[in-house]
Amino acid sequence: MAVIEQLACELELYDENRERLLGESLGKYVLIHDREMVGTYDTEADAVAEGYRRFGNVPFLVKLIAPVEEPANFLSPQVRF
Amino acid sequence: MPSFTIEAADLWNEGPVIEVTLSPSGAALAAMGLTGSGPVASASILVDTGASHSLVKNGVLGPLGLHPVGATEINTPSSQRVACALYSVRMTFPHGQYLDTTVIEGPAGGLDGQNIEGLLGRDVLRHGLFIYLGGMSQFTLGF
Repeated sequence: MAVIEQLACELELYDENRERLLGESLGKYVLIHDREMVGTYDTEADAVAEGYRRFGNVPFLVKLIAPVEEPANFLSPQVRF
Repeated sequence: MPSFTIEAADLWNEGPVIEVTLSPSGAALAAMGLTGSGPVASASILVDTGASHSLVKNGVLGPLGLHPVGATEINTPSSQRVACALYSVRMTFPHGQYLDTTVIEGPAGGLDGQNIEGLLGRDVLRHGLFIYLGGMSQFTLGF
C-alpha cells in the first residue's frame, strides 16, 4: 500500500476533523495537503483544481464528506485482487 | 451528442472494449507546466455497467508522472474494502471527445491475465450514452 502511504498524513487529519466536517460541510469535498485543511468545495473537480493550483503536482487528498464511506463496487468477476 | 460505434468480432465473449488515451487532466497539466496533451498512455478499457467507478490496472498511469489526489476503498467479488489511490486524468475516446475525471488505480495483480487494462464505470457513463446491440455485435458510446 505504498501509494496510499503518500496520503497517510492527510487521511489522519481528515479522521481527526471528521465529526466537525460532517456538521459543517456534509456532502462537500474537502481538500487537505500535508497538515493543512485548505477548504471545502461543492464538486470533486473544483477541489482537485484548487489542489493543483495551490500545491502543484504533488500528493494531496480530496475527499467527500459523508457519514458513511461507501466503497467503489465492482461486480464483474473479471476484477480479482 | 458526438458518438462512435464499434463492431466487435466477438462482442459476446470479449465485451464492449474501447481504446482510450489517458493523459494528465487539464488541471494537472497546468500544474506540471506542460502544454499540449503532455505524457500519454493507451489502454484497452471494458465498458462495465457493473462498476461504480472507473479503474485502471496498476502501472498503467506510471508514464503520466502523476501523484494521487484521493483515496478510496473498493469491493470486488473476491475482496472487501481494498484501499486504492485516485488520480486526476483526461480520458480521450476514439472519436476525439475527452473527459477530465478521477480514476482508481487498482491494486497490484488486479486484471492480470485479462484482455483489458481498465474498466469504464458508471461515474463516467453518467455523462454519456451507451447502447449495446448484441444481435448486431456492436455498441455505441457517446459523450
